[in-house]
Amino acid sequence: MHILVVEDDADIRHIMVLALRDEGYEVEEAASGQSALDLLDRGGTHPEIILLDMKMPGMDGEQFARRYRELYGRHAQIILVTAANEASVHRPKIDADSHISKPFDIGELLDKVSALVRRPQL
Amino acid sequence: MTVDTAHLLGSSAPPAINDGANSHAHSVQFYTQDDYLLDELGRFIGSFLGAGDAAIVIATPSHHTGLVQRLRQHGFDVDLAISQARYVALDAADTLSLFMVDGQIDPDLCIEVLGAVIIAARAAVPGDHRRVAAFGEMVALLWAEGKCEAALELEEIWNRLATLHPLQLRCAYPLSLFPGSADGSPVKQICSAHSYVIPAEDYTAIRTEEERLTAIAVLQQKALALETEIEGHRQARGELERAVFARDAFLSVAAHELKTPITGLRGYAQLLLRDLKAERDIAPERLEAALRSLDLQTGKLARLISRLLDSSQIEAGKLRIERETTDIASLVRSVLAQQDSADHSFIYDGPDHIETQVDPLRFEQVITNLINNAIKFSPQGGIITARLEQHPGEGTRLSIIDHGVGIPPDHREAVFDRFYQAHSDYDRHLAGMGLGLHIAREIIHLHGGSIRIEQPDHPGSCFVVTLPPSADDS
Repeated sequence: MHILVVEDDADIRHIMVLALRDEGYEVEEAASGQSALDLLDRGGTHPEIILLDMKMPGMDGEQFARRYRELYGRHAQIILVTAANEASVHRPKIDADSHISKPFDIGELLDKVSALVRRPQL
Repeated sequence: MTVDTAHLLGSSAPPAINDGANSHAHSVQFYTQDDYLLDELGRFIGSFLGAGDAAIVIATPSHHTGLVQRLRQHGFDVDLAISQARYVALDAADTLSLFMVDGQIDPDLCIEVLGAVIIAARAAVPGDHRRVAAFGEMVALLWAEGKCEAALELEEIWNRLATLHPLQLRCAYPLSLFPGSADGSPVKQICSAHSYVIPAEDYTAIRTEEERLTAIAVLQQKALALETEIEGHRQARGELERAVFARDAFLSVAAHELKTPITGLRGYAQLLLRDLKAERDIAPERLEAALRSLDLQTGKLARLISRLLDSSQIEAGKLRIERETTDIASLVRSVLAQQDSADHSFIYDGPDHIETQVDPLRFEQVITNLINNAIKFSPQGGIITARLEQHPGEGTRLSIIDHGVGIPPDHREAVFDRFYQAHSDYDRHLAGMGLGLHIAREIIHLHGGSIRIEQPDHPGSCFVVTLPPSADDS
């Protein structure tokens, strides 16, 4: 199971990557929407799940999600990771499959990921 | 029956004499105090009862009680008049309900109900010149319910009834019914439905033309003063709304700024706890990353909190500076030396020493905020130059120059506003809490200096701080 973490804050990105690797997931990371698109463009294993921050420099989460759906459709499921109080409000805006609010609980983050893993997309 | 007719007829109300033209008079009385209404009403009704005529009073219970009290004080035998059916007291709300259908006046029903009351009252008075005084408050009840159209319609029905019967009509409106109508339009509408207007208390005792003109001048002055005051309130409300908007936007950004370090701290703590719980060895690099983050982020949180406190002190006008002889050149160099950004290089361009009279701690804060700002606005890295110049008689000039994204000309004033970046759509990510530059500017102002943004001859920004010559610093 491949997961891509898109998050500009190095600490938060690092934490998500470590927690997911501890659970045995294959994890790649990107510090911005643009570098995530570049990574996907280079080919390799396409992720099944993308953990996506909303506020990032340059291309933000919303712009990335829109571009991703244009390029790859619903290939990967997207989990929105945001410090905004209304995470659930932002979720439909970017057509996300799940969301979690910062500061998140690692156990809850892993539960959200495994829930999507068990629910293979259509 | 002893009647104080001299007092009753000394009223300022329209003369209650049946001389044909006046028999149809429909007057309206405005009031702010019940006592004034009831005193006038006592004279009006009293003059009819005293002359042996009939009176119909359609009022609220409290006005009924007050009126009967006044009539008795003047020596009228109200009970006798009631028993003779010359005094008809009806409850305004109950009477209204007799001809209101689905919230609307039924005009035919209304004329039927009121007509029957008038005919009965006339019949109770012997003789040919039988007059009826009618006081009604149903219109005021309708107006109070917001049924202004219905009130005006009822006024017209009374006017029609007055053409059929020898009626002298009076209705009354408390001025409190028209609180929000600065243009006076409802009062004008009501007045136009009547043949005589009795203004609210204070203006009825006017006897001479001079008094009348004085009263008008005073009223004009009061109206103008009130309008000025209202305009002041309107502006204050606008400012308040803007301040609340800025505060809400700021809170949302501040929450984000605070949540980011907390997310990191909590995440590392949980990662380590999970390792402990699973009895895994904690990788040394993981432990180091966690501790490094703990160190860095708690420092960041402490700085955020200091800025918030500084900002609130500035707003309260409580921020004070303590000037002392300071070598500003070495202050600038020491701030540059503290920077540890790997992507940027820092250059000091200026003399070895410049003595100024500044608050060294606060001025260090200014330099730090400007350098941090330069770092933030040049995310791709590059050279950041601090240039210090002193020209005789012109004071000291400090320029912080970066090669970053620059600040659009139309944002160059506003970036110093409190919370500015909090509500900017100008690359939200670069926006901090919008306090650093604001605090810097306020400290510079406290030193008698100024700050502005210039465009360097390359892409990027140049923040220029000018401090007045030390001689002027007293």
